[in-house]
Amino acid sequence: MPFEAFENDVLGEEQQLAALAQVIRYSNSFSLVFAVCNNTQYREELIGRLQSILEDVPTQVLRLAEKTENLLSALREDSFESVKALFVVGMEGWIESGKAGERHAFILNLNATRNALPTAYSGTLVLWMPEYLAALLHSGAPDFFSVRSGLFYFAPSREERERLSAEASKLSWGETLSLSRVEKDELITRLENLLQDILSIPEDDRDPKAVIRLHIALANAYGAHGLDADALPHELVAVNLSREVYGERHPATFMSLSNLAVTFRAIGRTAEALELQEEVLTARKEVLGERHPDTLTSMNNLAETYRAVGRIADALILQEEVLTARKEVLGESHPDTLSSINNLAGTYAALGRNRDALKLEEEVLTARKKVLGDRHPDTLTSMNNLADTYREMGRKADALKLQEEVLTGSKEVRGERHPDTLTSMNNLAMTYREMGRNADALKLQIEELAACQEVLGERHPDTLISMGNLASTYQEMGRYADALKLHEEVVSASKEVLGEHHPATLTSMNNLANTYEDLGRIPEAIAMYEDAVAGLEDLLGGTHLHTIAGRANLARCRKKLP
Amino acid sequence: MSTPIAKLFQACDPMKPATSEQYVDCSDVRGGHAFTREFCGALTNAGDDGSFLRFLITGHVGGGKSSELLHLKAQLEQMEKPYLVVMMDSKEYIDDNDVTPNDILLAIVSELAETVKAKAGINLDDSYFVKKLNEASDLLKSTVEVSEGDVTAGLLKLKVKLLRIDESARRKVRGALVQNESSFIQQINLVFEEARTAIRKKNYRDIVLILDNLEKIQRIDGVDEGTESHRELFIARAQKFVGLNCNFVLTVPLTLVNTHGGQLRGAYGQPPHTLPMIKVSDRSGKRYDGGYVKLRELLSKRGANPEVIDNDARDLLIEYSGGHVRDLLGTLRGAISTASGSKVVLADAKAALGQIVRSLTVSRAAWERLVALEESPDRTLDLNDPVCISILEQLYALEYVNGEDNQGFLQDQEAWYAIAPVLKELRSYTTALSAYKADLLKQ
Repeated sequence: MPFEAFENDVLGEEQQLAALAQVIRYSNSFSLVFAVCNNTQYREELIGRLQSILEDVPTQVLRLAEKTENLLSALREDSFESVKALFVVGMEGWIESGKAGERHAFILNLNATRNALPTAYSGTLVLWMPEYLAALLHSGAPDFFSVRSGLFYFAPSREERERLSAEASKLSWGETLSLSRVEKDELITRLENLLQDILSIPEDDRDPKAVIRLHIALANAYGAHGLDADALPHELVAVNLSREVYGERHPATFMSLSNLAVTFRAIGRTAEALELQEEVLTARKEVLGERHPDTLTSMNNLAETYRAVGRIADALILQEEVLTARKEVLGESHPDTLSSINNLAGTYAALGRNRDALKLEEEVLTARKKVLGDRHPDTLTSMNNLADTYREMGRKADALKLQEEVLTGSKEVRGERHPDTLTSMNNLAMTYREMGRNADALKLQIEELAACQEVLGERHPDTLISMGNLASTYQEMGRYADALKLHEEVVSASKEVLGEHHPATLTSMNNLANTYEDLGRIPEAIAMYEDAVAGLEDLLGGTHLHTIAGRANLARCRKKLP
Repeated sequence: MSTPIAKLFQACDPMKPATSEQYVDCSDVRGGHAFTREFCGALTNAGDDGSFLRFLITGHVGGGKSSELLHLKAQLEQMEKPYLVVMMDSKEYIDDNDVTPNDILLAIVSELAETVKAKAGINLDDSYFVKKLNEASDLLKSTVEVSEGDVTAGLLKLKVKLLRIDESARRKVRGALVQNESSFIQQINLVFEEARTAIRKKNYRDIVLILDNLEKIQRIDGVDEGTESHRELFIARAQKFVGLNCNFVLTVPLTLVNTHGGQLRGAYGQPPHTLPMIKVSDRSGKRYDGGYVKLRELLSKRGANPEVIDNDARDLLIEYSGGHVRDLLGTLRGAISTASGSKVVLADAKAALGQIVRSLTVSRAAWERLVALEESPDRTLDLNDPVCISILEQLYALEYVNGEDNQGFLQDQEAWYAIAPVLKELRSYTTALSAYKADLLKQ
């Protein structure tokens, strides 16, 4: 008997609901129905519609607790005597997607207790589950799977699938950074919805590359919004999927890994970032070659992390190499080349080579204004960096002017609570303080610290820096008790989070020593200065400005000893 | 709701074995041994020489084992001089994930005591071992409400059944009863002897023990689950069953038979009996009408007559069941629920099959084996390959046996396999098939 495959015969959503209702109506003893649906929101909607189709039939929804191991016991906990159909939801809380769960207790229990289920419940048991769970049930509990009285699959229609795939394939994320806050919010909502919809498509029909693209786009959107912790899970999924779809040593997998590392660094997991970036750099050199743009990006990222962990010398070597190569490979005014110059300038500044930094920063700012425009986030970053250097060099008025401009721009472009906006606030406050405008500084710093604690977390490196700065302002104003409390907190947290030898930790130790000194607690001050100076000599060398300043502090303090 | 179509739905419960009204003897179209006939024949011929029949039966999940065993029970009970059949469904007693062979023996004794009391009015409570078992089971008193004077065999069964859900009591009872393994079986045999003497006075010929669902056991205490546990229970500890002075039939897992058939034969004295699928096509893939005739009869006994289902719809469901009865019943339920009127038409059958097609996901490894099976002329599977074992367990591949030719000779007892027909309608099948052919070309 020749006939078409059944693809054209499958039931639409309405018909499936009607059929499911019919199973419930016809059943006169225990029966088991599987309803597969990946999208939890859609599932709730379907259950609601079923209940209205079945108006006169008593039904109930059983929401399983997250770690339920046994359906039978869950059924026994309650009495469902007069309930003709029981909709069980929450099974995905038993086994997460992607885990090898075939031998999970819950699956084994299902197989083992299926004959006992009718003793606990005598109506139609409708088990709602995502696709992966249905597949696990089929392979792990074939006996249980075989006694079903109905199998339903609720998924987007074919037209809908095509539309979704097309939408996902059009995604590009290069421009995410320059979107306004509202646009970023909209983008995230749109992408999250699109991801949910795409995941509703049966796995076989789903384009895994579109899924990867979506996760990366989402991570990027969250990252651009300063919500790096929200980006992380998407980066992780993208990495796992990329490995599966493209293979371990494919450029696309490197890209996912590289993104993940950047996010690690942004949320303060620098050790993991460092390890991953070194790994990716080695692999890219081998697979793509020494001067491939992606390899250069890897070197650049790694250098940034080196700087973040205080390995300034390592950062410098890498950055100079990247800059030379980028100029040759990409050209002098390519945005990536400009980034390189900017990053190198940052390292010069960290090394106290302010003149070198200044020269490069002015160069980048001019170029960025021309290439990207006045309000582009990268342009703002450039202005911010230049202002820092002005301040370091004592050009406070120049710094102030620039920083006020940056803060206004950043609030507008990135949003009030974006990490980069918070950094701008912090920087401006420092300049206020240095100019003696302590009240202005204090107001700004209190506001900024509260935002940091909320957005970045209590122990994020940037939050600690903010606390230290606020403490210094207190001290400047003579509020020693407030200053001391905060400084001590910062030192102990920095040692834990960043390590003993991190520049930020050493700075915070120096500041704490200074407070002890002001309070007349000279022996404690000396001990702390000594530790800080030893660390600075080690890290930055004997001739660095900070080291010299530290030594001067120590000498001055020693003189105060009786 | 008791329209004819609702009645048909209710009569096709995939969770229940066939009742005697629903039963159809399909042995001719299954091929292989006519299990019930053989067992009854061997039993009659065995006489009273003190030897016992020890049959093993196996087959796919949902392939009709329980229905056959129920049918066998009815046959044995309807004989002129009937057998007393003790039928123990291990699911009632046993936690499939934590069993010792002695748990099974305990369950056997309590089922025996229960059946002998119910069928022949004989109370075994004074038998030494039943008494002891009753005492040991009193450990469970906390979980059962015992009213005074209620210590009957029926209660014993209830108590031993509770061992299934009460793990700590299970350990206590095991400890209290089983101190000496060999005397344990002797004690049970004494109970059998006592029961046998008593029932013979009531015109029964002998006792037959039917142990159903034993193949569902997943883990024997202290052994890895799956095949290792199956090996332990049915082969290493075969003496637990073979040592019983009683005729018995027990169910063993299909995968164990496929991988350790020789050892099973050695332990039980004869090869396991496989209950193959009902053939709806032959080894070459050609439609086999005999199977259709039997399955139509089977469906019609459950109420699938032309009034409620069109012939083409019915035959399509039969074709796509591959001769797997439970699957056929489940899909028919699907078609009934889809039917908008009072009758199942071809479109409903197609829709029910379509529901299955779009819900199945098959792993790449499984596809490789399935496509190779479909393309191989001899239709065999490598049963040492765990993937092949799992595609059999998942009913992606079904086991068949040819059986008698038209001269009545058993020409071919060898098993062959076929891909479950519905899988061939998956789009991924076509993909897997072309990948397989491309691979062949490369070689």
